[in-house]
Amino acid sequence: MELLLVSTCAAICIAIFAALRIPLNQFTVPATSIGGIVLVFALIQVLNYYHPYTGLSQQHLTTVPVTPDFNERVMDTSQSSAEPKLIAWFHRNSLLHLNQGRAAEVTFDSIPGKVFSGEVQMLLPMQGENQALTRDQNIDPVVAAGEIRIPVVISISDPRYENYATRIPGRSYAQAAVYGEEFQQLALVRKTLLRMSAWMNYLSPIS
Amino acid sequence: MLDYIALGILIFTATSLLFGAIAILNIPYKIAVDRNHPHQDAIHHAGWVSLFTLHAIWPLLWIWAAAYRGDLSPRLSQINEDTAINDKAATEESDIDADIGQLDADITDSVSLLGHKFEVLDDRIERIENAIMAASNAA
Repeated sequence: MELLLVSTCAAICIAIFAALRIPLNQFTVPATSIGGIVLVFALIQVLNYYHPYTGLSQQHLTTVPVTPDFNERVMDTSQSSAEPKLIAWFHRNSLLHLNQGRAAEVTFDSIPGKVFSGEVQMLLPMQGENQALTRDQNIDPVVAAGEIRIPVVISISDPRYENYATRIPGRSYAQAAVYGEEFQQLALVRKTLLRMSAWMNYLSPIS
Repeated sequence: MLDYIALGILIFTATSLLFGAIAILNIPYKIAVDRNHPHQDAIHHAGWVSLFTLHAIWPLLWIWAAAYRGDLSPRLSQINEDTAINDKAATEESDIDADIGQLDADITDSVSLLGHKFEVLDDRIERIENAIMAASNAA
């Protein structure tokens, strides 16, 4: 996400240099670089604080067991409802902007180019991501770094999501952003970046 | 709507970055040429080769180009030459004025000298004629 923002700002600078025919020399290029670093750093910090984003989100299927109704003499397990919910791990300094009911957006790595709207449903107790995952004996190396983060449950209310909901397997990775109430104009930057990131998911990683 | 604006920005970013990568590539070479750098060809080639290293060696090329300061930098010497020519023209103009004055004085001198010599010659011719006349009378 930060890389996308830096690249976009660099691209704008290059376009301005080309359009205004500014000479590239030992004064203009370093001055633009330093100015760009300061501005982009400030933008990233403000964005991350007020409109937190995380690339660490996973869809989990939580089973809500229903006590079998033995009165009907048939154990009806189909009543157990498996409800998909998205858990996004946000960095700790975003806590004050992760209130319940805040607007959120989600894009799945497996659904490129689509961003779904939703809202913050609830906050879970803070924990290391690895603690949440060790149960499954399958620790993502990135996640296992073990930083204590804030798990936030995001409910996706976007009607377009219904077409995909049944096709997305559990533990699918997603990127999520929550939009705070301050600096609404900057939320537009976050929304655009999230969509750019969603388009980027069309590209398969080359390794 | 915002989806497609984001796609547009993404494409713009990719294109512009590619353009920028090529645009900054020849800065060290241009510096080297300006300084009449003995390694300017090497710096030019290394500039293009730095694309393979994703510009990792590009700042070093800049330093390399700037490390040499040619005494006969074409641009600097051009500037020097221009000033020199202007200065020369100015001094030449005043020199010519002085020369003309000198020549005027010389001509005046020469004319007066010539006049004097003519007088001397006239005298001598007169004396020779008188001598011839006297000789022929005596004969």
